[in-house]
Amino acid sequence: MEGGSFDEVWEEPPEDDLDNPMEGGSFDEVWEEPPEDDLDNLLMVKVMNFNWRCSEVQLNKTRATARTAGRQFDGPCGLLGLFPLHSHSVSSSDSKRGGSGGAVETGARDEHRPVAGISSAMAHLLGASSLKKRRAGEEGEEIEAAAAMAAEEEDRISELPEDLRLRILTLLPLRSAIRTGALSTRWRALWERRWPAPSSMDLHIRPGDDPEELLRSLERRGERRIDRFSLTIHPNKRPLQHHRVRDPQRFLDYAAACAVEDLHIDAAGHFVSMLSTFIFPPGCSHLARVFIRHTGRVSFRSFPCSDASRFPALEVIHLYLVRSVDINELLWACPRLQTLDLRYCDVLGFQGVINLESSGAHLRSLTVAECNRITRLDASRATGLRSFCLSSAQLPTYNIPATASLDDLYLSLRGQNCEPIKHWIQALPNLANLTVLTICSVALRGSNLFTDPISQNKRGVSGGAVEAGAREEHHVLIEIREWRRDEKETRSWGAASSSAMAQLLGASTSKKQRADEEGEEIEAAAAAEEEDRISGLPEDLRLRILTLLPLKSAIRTVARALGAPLARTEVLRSLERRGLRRLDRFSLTIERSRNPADPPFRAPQRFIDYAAACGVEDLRVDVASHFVSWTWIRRFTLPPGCSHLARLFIRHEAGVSFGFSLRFDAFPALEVVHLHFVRIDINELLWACPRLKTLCLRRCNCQGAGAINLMPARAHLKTIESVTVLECSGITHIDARKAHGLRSFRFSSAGFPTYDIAGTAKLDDHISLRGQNRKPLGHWIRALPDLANLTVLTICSIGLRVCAL
Amino acid sequence: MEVDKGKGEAEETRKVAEADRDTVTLKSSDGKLFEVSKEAAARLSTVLAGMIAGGSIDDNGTDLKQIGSEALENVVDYCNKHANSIPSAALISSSISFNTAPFKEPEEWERKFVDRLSHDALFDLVEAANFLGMERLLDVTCHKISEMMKGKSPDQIREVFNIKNDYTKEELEEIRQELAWAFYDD
Repeated sequence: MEGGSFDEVWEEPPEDDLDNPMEGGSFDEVWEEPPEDDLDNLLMVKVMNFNWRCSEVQLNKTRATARTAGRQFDGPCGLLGLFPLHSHSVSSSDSKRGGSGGAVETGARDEHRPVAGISSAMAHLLGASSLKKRRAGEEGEEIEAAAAMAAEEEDRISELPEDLRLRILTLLPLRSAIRTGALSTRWRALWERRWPAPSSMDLHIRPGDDPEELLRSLERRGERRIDRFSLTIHPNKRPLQHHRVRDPQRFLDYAAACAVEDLHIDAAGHFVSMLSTFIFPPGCSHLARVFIRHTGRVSFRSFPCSDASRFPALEVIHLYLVRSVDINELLWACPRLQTLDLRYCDVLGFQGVINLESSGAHLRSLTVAECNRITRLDASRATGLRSFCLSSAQLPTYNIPATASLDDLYLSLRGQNCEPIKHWIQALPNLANLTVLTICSVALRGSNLFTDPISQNKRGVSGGAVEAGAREEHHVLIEIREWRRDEKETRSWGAASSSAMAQLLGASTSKKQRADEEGEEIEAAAAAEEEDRISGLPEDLRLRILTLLPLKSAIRTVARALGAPLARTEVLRSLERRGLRRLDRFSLTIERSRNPADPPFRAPQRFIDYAAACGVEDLRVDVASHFVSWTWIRRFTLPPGCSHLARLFIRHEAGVSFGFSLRFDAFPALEVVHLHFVRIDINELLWACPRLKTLCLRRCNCQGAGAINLMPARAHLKTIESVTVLECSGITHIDARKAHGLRSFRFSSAGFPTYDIAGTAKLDDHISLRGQNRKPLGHWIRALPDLANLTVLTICSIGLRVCAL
Repeated sequence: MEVDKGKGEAEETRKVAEADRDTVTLKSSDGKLFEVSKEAAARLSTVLAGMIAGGSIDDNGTDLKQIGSEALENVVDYCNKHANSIPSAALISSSISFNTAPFKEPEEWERKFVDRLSHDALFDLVEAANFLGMERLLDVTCHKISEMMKGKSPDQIREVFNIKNDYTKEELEEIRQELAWAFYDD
């Protein structure tokens, strides 16, 4: 029973909590209990890990594939045979993907093709192969002739004077120019000087900076060529006191006038961030990469007419948290697009249709994540597609050419409607080259794809083969249950990986964690008695597998204690260095400062934002000592994009809000909510957590909430198992009539609230309430549900004194 | 008579001088002589323009020791054939350096002109153009070289230009990691 172990943690007298804030580590006791997941949970929906550095992933992948190419695959191998295909270098562990609760891991294997065939295919990927060289030679005969001649002679080009070489570099697109840096030491970093300095601009507008001044200095520089332009508008908490960025568009205009090739804009702090508009001016013909984040509207429209090659060099587009973008205008205008990455974009194109018809020819990577208004994705011409990731709370339809040979396919569709599943399984393209297939969907439960009994042999050929798209000579394996059975072993990997991850992240592991690891090692020893081939795999393989497991199975933590006040900015900076990589657990504890001279800690919000941006699954915030913790003014905001969140613990925060209007399914994965000393609109939260299992409110201020409604209109809180509401002010009624799965119900209040529990709920644990008013006593005794399973019944009430039981 | 004769001789020399005024004789490093119209030379080459203005032109062939005959032939060929269609080099203010002035795409005949060159001849021509300060010819030849580098992996570029890779593996890896996106598919 989950509730039991929480007691150890939570039943400390809260008065003590105020003075001795609980260490972050003590939460871990709760986490030691092994998760008991059934198949339903297995198919539970989580959202993928979005990698921020796609190119690096690709790079690693290609290298890994190269290594694999040399390896002979002999005979059919099952589960274990899949792993060599995932052979990534350790460095790829930071490019982990998946992490999905219901990751259905599939490897498409190529057993019957001769090895030579594979290696030539792989060599093709590598680009440095003889095959490609030959092709390059075919492009122009004179080049081949020149190469042949040059082979006997000296290196004329490196002998040229530097200004001539710089002149040649100015004629190259940025990407080719950067590549020359790898030619030899005489070319190293030469490209960086090809334009008059600075050829790369990284502008930050922080509160207090004067954007007009910055613009004037740009004007003084004049419109000279530039490689990279990056603009970050930092949050401005007091827009009335500081200068506001009135017209961010002018920065974009300047960059465009300088024929920028690599453009980054992050307007997170623009005072009307959601209203800010960027319009791409004409003359962006050199643009090769575009990254835009946190903006209201981005327009690529050109007047008077659309020009089919307005962005002839544009290869990479990343849009993140852009409220509205006319994406089809952009796609129409970039014929050389290679990577399209859209995340958390709200309004995309007309009626949610993304049309890649005109720009599909060069497309290699397509990611559309959590853009929930998308209804259709048409990439039917993208025959070169290698990576396809689609994640949405709805069920958009999509169209990929059947000839695309994907390396990487990720689908996470959490829509309610199960009908289209057949469509989207059948629409899968040729899976022969696939190395990673991840399908997460609640819809899977409703489909009959997995009705075959799962074979018990360790070879792991189980589930059902995806028939469509898989050619007969290739095996597409869908592995579900085997990994689950190996839960214990999995946990031992968790121990191994957490230390590795901690090293990688440069984060300190707490003592508590180490204790955990030891515990897990003991478990691992117990598991080792069985045949344990999986633990024998190299660490990088196991790390790779771990990234595909849900958090419960692979508990890795980044614990950070914020002791010394000086360390805070350090920590923030180190977090920034780490970048927005996926994070399992984020625990923020701000302890009470004993020294009143310490500066108050003003920006916990930035930590929350960081954790949310990393797709954190387990978030704990304890701001016991925050200087305005109890003033009821302080609020902190859960930013959008918390769809990975599985557990939420908040203590001592005055107010929690959500920064945006919650819609149904805003926290699709949230299962456990613990709020302690928090002021919150609880019904708003409940509305957004369709999979909530445990709700625990202690000493919260729910003023204005009145009744806690555990059965909102869509009745999606069916999963709830444990409800604990202790000493919360403002609660008059708990309505849990439809919570048939309720196992634990604890309710304590000094007032005399009423409650409704489903008569069919089989309670293990029941704690009730005390109050001044005797009247409703009869009501709440009668309202008790089926007590047959009850192990603990505690009723404390002064009302009992007068009631004849 | 003698005076007349002298006059005639003087006239003759003046005529020769007038004839000479149209062309400049250039002498390559291996002693070959080439003639190029003075106007074209002055228009296309800042260096020759300066020499003509400064009177340091030698009628018997201005010595250009840095330039081989093959390259000089190409230079002269370029000047003679296309002198009229090229804007004056002098008009391009020297203060506007190549990396701020907008680059004008080579025309069709210019492409053909550099396409027929061998690898070595191309580099000889680049060096000659650089020596003579011929901005437009530099644009055209450098454009040609950049075309040969565009879209190629470092390995392919090394092969084409015979560049020796003197990086260590670690250095190379560092460079590639630093800007991984540019090395995405090689």
